[in-house]
Amino acid sequence: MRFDLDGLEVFFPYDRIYLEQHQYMRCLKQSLDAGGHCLLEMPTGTGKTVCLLSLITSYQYANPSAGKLIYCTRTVPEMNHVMEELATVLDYRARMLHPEQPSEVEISCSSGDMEDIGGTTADRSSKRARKVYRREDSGKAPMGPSSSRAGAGGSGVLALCLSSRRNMCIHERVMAESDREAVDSACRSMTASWVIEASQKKPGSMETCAYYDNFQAAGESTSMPSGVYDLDELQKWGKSRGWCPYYLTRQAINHANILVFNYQYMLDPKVAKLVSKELGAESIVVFDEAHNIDSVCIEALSVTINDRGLEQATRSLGRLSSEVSRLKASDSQRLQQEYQNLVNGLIDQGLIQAPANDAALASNVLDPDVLNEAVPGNIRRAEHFVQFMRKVVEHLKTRLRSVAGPTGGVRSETPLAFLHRMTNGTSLETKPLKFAYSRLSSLLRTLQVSNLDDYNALTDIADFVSLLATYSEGVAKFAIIMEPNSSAIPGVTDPVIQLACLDSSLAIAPLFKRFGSVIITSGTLSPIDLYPKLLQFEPCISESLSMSTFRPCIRPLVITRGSDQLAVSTRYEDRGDMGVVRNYGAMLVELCSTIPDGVVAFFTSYSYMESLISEWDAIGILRELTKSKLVFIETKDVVETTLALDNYRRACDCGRGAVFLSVARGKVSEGINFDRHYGRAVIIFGVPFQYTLSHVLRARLEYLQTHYQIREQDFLNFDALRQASQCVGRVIRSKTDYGLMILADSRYTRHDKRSKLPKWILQFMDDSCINLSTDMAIAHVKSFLRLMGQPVDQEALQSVLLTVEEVTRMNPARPTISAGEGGAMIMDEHNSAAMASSSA
Amino acid sequence: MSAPASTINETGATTHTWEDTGGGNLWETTVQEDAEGRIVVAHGDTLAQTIRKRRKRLEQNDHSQRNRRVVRDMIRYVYVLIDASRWTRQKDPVLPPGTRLHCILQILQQFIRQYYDQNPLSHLGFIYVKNGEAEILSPLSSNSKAHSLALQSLAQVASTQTPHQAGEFSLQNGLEVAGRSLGHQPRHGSREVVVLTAALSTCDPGYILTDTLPKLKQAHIRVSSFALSAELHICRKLAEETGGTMGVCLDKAHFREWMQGQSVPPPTLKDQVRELSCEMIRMGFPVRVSSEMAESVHATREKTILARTAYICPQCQSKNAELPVDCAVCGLKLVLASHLARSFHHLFPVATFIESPLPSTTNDDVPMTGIPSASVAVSSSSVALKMDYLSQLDGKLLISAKDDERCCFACLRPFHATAAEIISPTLQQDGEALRMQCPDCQNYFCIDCDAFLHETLHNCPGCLRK
Repeated sequence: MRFDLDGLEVFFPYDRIYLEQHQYMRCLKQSLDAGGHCLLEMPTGTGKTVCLLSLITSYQYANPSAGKLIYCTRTVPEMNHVMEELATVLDYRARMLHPEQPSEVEISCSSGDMEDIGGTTADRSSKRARKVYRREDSGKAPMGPSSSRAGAGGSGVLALCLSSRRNMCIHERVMAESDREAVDSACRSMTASWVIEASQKKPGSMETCAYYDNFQAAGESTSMPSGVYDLDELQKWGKSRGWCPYYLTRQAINHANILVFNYQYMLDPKVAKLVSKELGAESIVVFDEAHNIDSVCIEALSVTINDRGLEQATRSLGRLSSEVSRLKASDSQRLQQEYQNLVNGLIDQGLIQAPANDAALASNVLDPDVLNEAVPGNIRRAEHFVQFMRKVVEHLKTRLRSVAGPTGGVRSETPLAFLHRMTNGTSLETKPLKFAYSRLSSLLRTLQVSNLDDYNALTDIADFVSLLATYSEGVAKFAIIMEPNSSAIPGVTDPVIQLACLDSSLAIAPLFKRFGSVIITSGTLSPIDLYPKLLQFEPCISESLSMSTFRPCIRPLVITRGSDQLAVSTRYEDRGDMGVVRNYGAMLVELCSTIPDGVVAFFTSYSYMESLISEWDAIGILRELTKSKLVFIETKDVVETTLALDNYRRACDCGRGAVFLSVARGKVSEGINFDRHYGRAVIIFGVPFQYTLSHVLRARLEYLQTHYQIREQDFLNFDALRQASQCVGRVIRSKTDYGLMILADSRYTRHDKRSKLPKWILQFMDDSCINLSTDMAIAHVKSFLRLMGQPVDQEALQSVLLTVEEVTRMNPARPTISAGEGGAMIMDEHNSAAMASSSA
Repeated sequence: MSAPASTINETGATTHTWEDTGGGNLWETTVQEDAEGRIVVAHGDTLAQTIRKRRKRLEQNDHSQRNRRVVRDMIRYVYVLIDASRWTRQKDPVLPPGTRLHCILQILQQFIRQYYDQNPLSHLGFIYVKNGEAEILSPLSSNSKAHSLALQSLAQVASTQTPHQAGEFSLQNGLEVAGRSLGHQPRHGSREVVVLTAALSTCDPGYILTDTLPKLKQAHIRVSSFALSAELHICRKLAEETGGTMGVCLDKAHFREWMQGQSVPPPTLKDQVRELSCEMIRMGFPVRVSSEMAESVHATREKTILARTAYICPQCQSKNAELPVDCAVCGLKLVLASHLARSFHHLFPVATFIESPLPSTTNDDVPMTGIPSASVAVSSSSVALKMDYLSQLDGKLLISAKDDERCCFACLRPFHATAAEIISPTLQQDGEALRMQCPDCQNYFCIDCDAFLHETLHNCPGCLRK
């Protein structure tokens, strides 16, 4: 449908639209108009992505001056999903603008609409059907890009996605490599500038990548026709041209209209320098599924150093020094030149641009904080620098040893104190420390090292000291935490030094400053008022939308007592209580014997889960459980968990039924969906608070308290509840789906906890659903399942979807103005057409 | 540490009705808390609302109501798969009294009668599953008595067993047994399995989606499921894949209705229509003979009885005891013409009547008073009377008019008087009367006649008159 939203013509690829989608788009539009940031929460499974894409592309279309859309996702599957939706949106727009285009697409899409109304994924099979169709479509057009026709149809949008080499490479040998690091280094060994040079001098001496060579040979003339390229398309297109898709994409970033990539490319300063540096300030940045954005920001700036890393660093230093002396003997010219460059401070001032394919190292230090100075004299010579780093590593080793030693223990220091001890202990100056990182990367480049992985530990340490020295002054936004035992296994000493970033706004602040509109959105952002405080920005709109439904398809239940009326809770004092253990067990058994297919149970931590399961085993609850469900357990091992998940799905598919026991902050709780029969119910045992005795967390809480006036308890509650709602939110992914959300802890009845759940969950939580005992809850569950098993009333489903007429009615009509706007749009079109013709 | 053991025992079925807190009893359903926590006595749905809900449900589920003039399979081979595992040995508050299995068997007894009534040419069989094994309770036949007896015997056996002896449910084994038997039936018939289960998990020897489902699809076996407790995904998946229906039990009435829906022959599967567009089915119309002396007559293929009347197969001249039946000797289908006729009506269903609200006229608008009241007791045959309004206002309600909008075309009762009111006039009417209109002949019918016409008579008198 094509409708008018406050004067903006929106191309929405489905015939009907949900009310909340319309509200969502309106909020987006307002914040784009105001040029501000916004925070939006909309329930999962209501077609958030399609709203975002269709509104922003329409906005770009109406205002050609609006910049790129930069869409950040968390995972590769999410990225593919976005590209798929984008293709639908742009296809539709092209069709609307140029109705003379062949109508075969229209037919197939409208048939898709029948099943998949309003952009939600009503059914996975229909989704797949559409995708298959698109593949055929691109098969017909030999040039590859899925909507090249759409591109030709006047929209002229180039949409790209960027991922690591591992996902994009098309070189046969490199693709065979197993992990990311191996792929990276294999690629680098064939594409580094010195390798290219060497092979140019003496063809055949080094193996180079044919795709990269072709791409380089084509030079700047390489350009991509407009269209939507997902990873597969990029690879296909790269193959057909013989160009390397990875470098091609990195080059094409500058003229793409829509970019889809991982968070890291925006937030992690290391990677961001390579990728997002040149993005224009008028770009629109979207962070999808951004409920954990503060943690991502913090992780991007935190470094952990342990014993093994230091040993490795020592070894790499040894290798470096031998490399240096070898080079000195063979080709001292190169070292001399580097020295000269450093003297002139050229590299750091960016006068010598490192070739794009070499710039694999970049510091964690944020751009504006880097000193624009020449590298100090005492580390300019390579051998001096190696010596310098040796001292640093030795010092860190002694510190680590003292932590693990008998007089040691957990210690927390400010960066300044740590730095002070370091300068005292090593008689080094502070200033050269700041340059450790850039000096190291320059050295590695000079030495023509292609397998950078071997130097990972060393770069970590250089990173550590650079960060430390750069941010030691002023307000301590970092803390140094030294712990003798980092691992959970008792009795093992594994001392670590952590440089923990405490301020989540540090990494994201440059983005808020640089870009006009940053949109942070997710299914669970509640309580929404804490995010602006944590990230230190002023949202111009922050909105939490509820869900329009035709039937109460989710049922949150708060179970506070067992069948024997004893309160259940995972409070620290109650954990060991046999009554609680037994009640939780009985609750799980009873729920599992009344709920069909898949049930997912979340525990607050691995250790709690393990202790609970062993108790249950002892009192025979597990045996009882296996009568109705197969039991799968998440472990810390990723492979094992994946296997368990796979078998869990199979058990759900074939009707045996299964229960998955997992951990609220584990891998499963994020990103894996338990929709439809894979999760008829999600149970959370306890409130998933963070481990409050963790020293990093303590330091962060203190920081938040003193600097942002966020009370400790508030933050902990916020964090626990967002985790809980994230877990329960896994259960539903479309409106025709249904699921139970069971919160099993007496603390959930309290207002301060309950009110922090997202609005779209609260809207289904009436007073009869809270403060239940197990047997009451079972009765609720039974009646809910009976009701939801009834066939979906198609009429009712249609009634919550708005038609074009209803949407236009909602838009208070201002005929004169909207006509004017429409005129303006036509004008724009003319203008752009004129511009295009003149440039041609 | 004695407490845990007792808890585990409790985790099984609720053993007593009073222990169950389910919403089955009146107190739970009518007395509720509202949003502010006040206690309110919720009035249940009014009669009209209940009827509307039922009609809506029927419209969604029932093939005959939704699509008109579809090709239907007149000859059906249906196996009912009864879940007799531990899951059905529990009591269920919405299916009182007794265990779920008793409820299933009770409703099946009614279903047998309905089924043969609606599908005189079709066969029915029963399979039950317990301990993870499936067994044929009574094989496919058109003998309703044998089925009744078999169900009764199952009920008796079940009442002596404890839930533990019943074991697990196995959908795959049940379907395999049904499929093996159905696979031998003639291809012109519709092959169906109706699964009645309360189980929430099935204990299968293999993987049902890859092992059994392709076989079912290949043999054109339709699997419909009715879940007594909650929707099991595999059942829904099978129903979707094979073209069957899926239901989840709301209460006993819903269960009964759903089973009733199963007695209506389903539309022919699309690919099957193409495959066998036309095929001659041989049938024999036997001659009924009666003799003074009791003779030996085939009751079933295995059994002969002594009887004085028999039907003689036109092909092999053997004597069969009952109709319709497949001849015990030559296997020819023996029917009466009336059986064919009874099957026939499914092909020409009565169109669904549309609800049309009564025109809101009060007594003042209609000149009721001017009508001579005494002698006009009009019978239904005198529809042709050219009088507009005739009524007798002493509650005996005799009205007739050719195109009156105020009384039912079939039973001639005014709409605002429901059947219940006529029986006991003191009963408070709920202020709303339902009026249905036939989309073809535009006549109005009351709700009782609507049900009667659609479910029993299968003809619309208004349309026939035209």
